[in-house]
Amino acid sequence: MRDFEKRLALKLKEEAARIAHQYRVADIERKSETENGIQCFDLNSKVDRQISRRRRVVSAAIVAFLLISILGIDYFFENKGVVVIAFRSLASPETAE
Amino acid sequence: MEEIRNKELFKMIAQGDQEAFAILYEENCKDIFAFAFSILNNYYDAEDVMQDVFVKVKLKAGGCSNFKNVNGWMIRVTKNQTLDFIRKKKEDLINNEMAGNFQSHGESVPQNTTIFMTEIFDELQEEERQIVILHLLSDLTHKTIAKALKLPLTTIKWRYRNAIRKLEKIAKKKEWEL
Repeated sequence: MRDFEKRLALKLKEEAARIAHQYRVADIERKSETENGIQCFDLNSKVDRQISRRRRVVSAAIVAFLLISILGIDYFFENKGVVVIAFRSLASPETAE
Repeated sequence: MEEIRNKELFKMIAQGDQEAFAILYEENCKDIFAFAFSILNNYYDAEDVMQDVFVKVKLKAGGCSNFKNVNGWMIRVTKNQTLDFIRKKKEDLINNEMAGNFQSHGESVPQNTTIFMTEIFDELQEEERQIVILHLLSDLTHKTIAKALKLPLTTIKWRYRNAIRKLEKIAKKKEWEL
């Protein structure tokens, strides 16, 4: 570090120590306790939240729709894909073979 | 900012030591304040950000005591808090203007106070200011600054040298008493 940098650093340090407002630590502690309380409250509210009935119905409908689409595609295109084979083997293991 | 000492203090704060928090605050408040000031260029806003940073430090001390680079983490938190502060301030300004109760800004520094730092800030770009403050005032190495600001080391060194060169010229021109 050169002389100019050293002198500048010293001046900046002196000034920062002079102007940095000395907040009372107690104020910050009080504020952190308040924020901590808010965070705990948020966490509790998240735990208590239940999945609504409407959401359950919509999810079930989406799953059913996807299943029907897979079966439908398999049936209409006479693909005899994995799904049909699996179903047939479940129904009668002999015919599937 | 002393890395090893700050790490120890973080551990003590995590265990609920109030005195350790007071010491950490005393030793680092000027660095955090100056860094926030270098971005915001407003004394009062920098004070608010500094307070928010220490609140965050107190809340998260337990999780950060095992960090490799505690000082870098504090600098990143300060930068994020400052950017959040700017975003909130912009939103408030827009809302106030829309509601028709626009008020002009107050002073950026306390009355009857001359701050040498603001003279430096006027001459440098934002990133140059941050690097100069972190290196000269907080005694952070270029490597730590590069990690904290997520910039390449060569960029940090180049910008720092550039800033010092500029300041040297201005110091001669304006006859600063250093």
